[in-house]
Amino acid sequence: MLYALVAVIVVVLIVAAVAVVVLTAPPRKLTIQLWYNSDGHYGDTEPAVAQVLKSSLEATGKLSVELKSEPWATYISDVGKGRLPFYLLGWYPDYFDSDDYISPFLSTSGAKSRGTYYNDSQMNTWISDQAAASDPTVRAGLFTQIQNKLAADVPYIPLWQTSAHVVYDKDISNVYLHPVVFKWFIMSKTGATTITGGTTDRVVSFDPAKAYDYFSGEVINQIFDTLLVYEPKNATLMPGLATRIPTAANGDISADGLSYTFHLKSGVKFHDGSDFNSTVMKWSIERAIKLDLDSSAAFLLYDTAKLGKTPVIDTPDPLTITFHLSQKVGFFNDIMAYSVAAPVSMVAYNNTGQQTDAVSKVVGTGPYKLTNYVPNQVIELSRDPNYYNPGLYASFGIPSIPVLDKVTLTLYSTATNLKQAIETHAVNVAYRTLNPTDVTDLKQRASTLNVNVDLGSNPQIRYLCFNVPTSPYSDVRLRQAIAYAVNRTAISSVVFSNLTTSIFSMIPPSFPFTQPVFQTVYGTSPNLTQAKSLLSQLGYSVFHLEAIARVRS
Amino acid sequence: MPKRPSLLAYAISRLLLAFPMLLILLTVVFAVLRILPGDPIAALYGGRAPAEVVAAARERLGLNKPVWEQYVIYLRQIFTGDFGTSLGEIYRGNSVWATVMLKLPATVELAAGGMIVASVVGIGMGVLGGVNRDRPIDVAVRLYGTIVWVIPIFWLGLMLQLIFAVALGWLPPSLRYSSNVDRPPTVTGLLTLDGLLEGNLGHVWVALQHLILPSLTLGLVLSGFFTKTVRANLLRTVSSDFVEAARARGLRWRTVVYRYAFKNALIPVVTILGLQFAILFAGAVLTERTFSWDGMGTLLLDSIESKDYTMIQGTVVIYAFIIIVISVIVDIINGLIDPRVRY
Repeated sequence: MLYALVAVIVVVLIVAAVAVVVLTAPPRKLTIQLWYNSDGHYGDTEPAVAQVLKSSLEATGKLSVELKSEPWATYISDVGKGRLPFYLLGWYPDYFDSDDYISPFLSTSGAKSRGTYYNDSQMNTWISDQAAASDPTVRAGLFTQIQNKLAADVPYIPLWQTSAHVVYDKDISNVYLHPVVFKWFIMSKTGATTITGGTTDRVVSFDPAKAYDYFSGEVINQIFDTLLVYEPKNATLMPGLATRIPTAANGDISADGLSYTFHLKSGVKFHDGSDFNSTVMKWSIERAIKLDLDSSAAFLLYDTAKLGKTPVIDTPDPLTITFHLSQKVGFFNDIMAYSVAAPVSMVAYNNTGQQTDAVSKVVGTGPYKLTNYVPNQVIELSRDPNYYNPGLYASFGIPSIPVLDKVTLTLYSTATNLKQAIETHAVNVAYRTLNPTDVTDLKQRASTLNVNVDLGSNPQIRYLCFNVPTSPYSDVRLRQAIAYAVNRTAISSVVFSNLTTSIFSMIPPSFPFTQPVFQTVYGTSPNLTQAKSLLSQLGYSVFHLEAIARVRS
Repeated sequence: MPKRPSLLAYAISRLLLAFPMLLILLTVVFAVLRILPGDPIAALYGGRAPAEVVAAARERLGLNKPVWEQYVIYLRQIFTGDFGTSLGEIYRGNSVWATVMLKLPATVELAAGGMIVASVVGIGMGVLGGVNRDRPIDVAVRLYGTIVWVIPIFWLGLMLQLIFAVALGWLPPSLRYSSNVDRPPTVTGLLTLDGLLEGNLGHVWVALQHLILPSLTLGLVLSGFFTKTVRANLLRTVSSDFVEAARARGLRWRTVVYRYAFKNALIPVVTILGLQFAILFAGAVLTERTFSWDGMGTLLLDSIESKDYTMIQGTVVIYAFIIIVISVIVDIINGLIDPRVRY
């Protein structure tokens, strides 16, 4: 009996001791993994970015962040397959409408390819409504609703907008960090007819039906004109090969918004002497859609611009072309200014395959001709003496384009080589991409080196993604807590020498309809109190959370 | 005494032995690329294109076939001389063979420059150390040999760029050629040689100026090993019986060292030279990146970044082939100059 009593007492004591230990033990943290790219797709700064994010999340005291990284090929493949739970990505727009910062992220199909699997039917409706709307007031209202819901649901956390920089000799003028595409054909240099530029970029293809990367698009823009083009300094459209911009008011957009008519300039010739007319324009668009080349931007034409796989395009006369859309697309004009919509010579190109990059095979209507190309080394652009539109930018103080006879672009392997090239004046202009520390250094020594260092914003945005349906991120409070905790200022100051701009919506500040919704909801700087309170509120116990996190990893 | 097989038979047997080695290498490269996660198509699209477009691209490139089938196709193609077309971001659709051949001259030029610097500096330093054994100059030589051998190529390259290009402005910091000077017409692809063939010394000079810093970088790093080997061999030869015999016959020390000992000390160096070519090509990859030198090394790095299976396979196979050929040639030379070599 005594033994039984002792045994009961011992058991009670043990249970009490365990209870005391469990109840008084400091709460354990939720361990999460943050993934980033390890081989420089976003520059050499990515590990530092991940480190800063880790410390700002761990400042809540309730999260423990493991950093994980993969090379780009693996990384993007895992993103596409939805294997990464919480990760860093970047986006450079394809067409310059705010829609390109929304539908690729928040529509169900877009979110799937971003690997977040966000799916909200109300969001889908708003997105297709704004894409179809042409009235800015209607669109503004819809974008407000979309962005508010973005901040409430937090499938992404917008972080910063990349900085753009260009370093060039002091005597070069008309160097503008254009938000869409850098324009070499407007630059001039005192007493010179040629300049050399340097870059760390690489050309993927000069074929407009193929190119879908920034630098190829930049070079194509010097060699090929499009129906509509951008002003020299900003993303306002103006007529290029067309005589005017289609609007509902001038009747070039039909009343139902499904037909766009362009009137073409007459007497335009390609660099090979062949004529440009509506037949060539139609053929070029059909060619890009028909070829639908690997990793090209053709889907912008048949899917985004709603031309379909078998586009309906009328050419009533050689100088008129009408595109028929299957649904309304408010930004159709913007897509007509993108390189994929550039007309190519019917003599030099065929519609059975991708054009090679041989000099004689790259034939457009633009101010420069391609006169030499050594892959990975040099691109030489020379004036087309027969350019049809030298006065394009006359109203902007540039009487005749192209200004210089020749622009030679030199391709460097590393940012360090590019910096040395501009320091030693081996090149006159260095554009894309110097290391942030080098930009700061060059800026400080600009007058000694006799160069200008221009800094500007870039339409590229960087953001965090959550795999929304998977635990623990399926609980919106965890995503919101992280949104409270991220420290954008620290990323900018620690990693980018304050050259980047924090953003508070997926639509960057320079674009219409943007609203800093994350600033409104979560504040400018980290709000650790709110983050902690949300993390404590998470319905289940910390033990449970950790178990889930372990299973996932 | 059995009849000595001919040198030709020896060379042929060496080449035949190289064949299974190449096959093993091909298989390993193929397997490693497939085992690693991620694939070129996903890397290409960057997650932008719809799933059906990605699937169609995979099918077109045969990446949806079973791995063994891809392997059989791959071997058949290689042995029929078809290296396929690139799947990567920069050279997509271009013939792998043509692309590698386009880049090969740059690497050959750099390797030759590096080898010249390594031989001249390495052998010179080695002899200097060997004949001044244990004097301060020998200590300095030994220290030099050790230090340059462990210096990272990119660091040495950067230092040379900063000193000779940025600070002094004597030489161009990077690239193979000035972008605002016309290139000599392509004959061999070696810019110095093409300049000579063109008969334009100005072009040769531009190419040489660009070649100096990369060659120094690669050559100095390699020269450390040469220095140590030459010094050690010279010391061994100097203390050998025939040198002592020559000295005993009253020949002057200088004559003995330079006419007899030095020649004998160089024989093992030729062997090492052959082995060094593999290291030279590896070093060239880093040197090319450091100097924006557009050769096979840059091609290999770019292909690895974009998971360009066919281009990686092609580049590695051609690298391996070159190294095997060089090692066979070195073996043959060794057979000719060293009577001790039996085949």
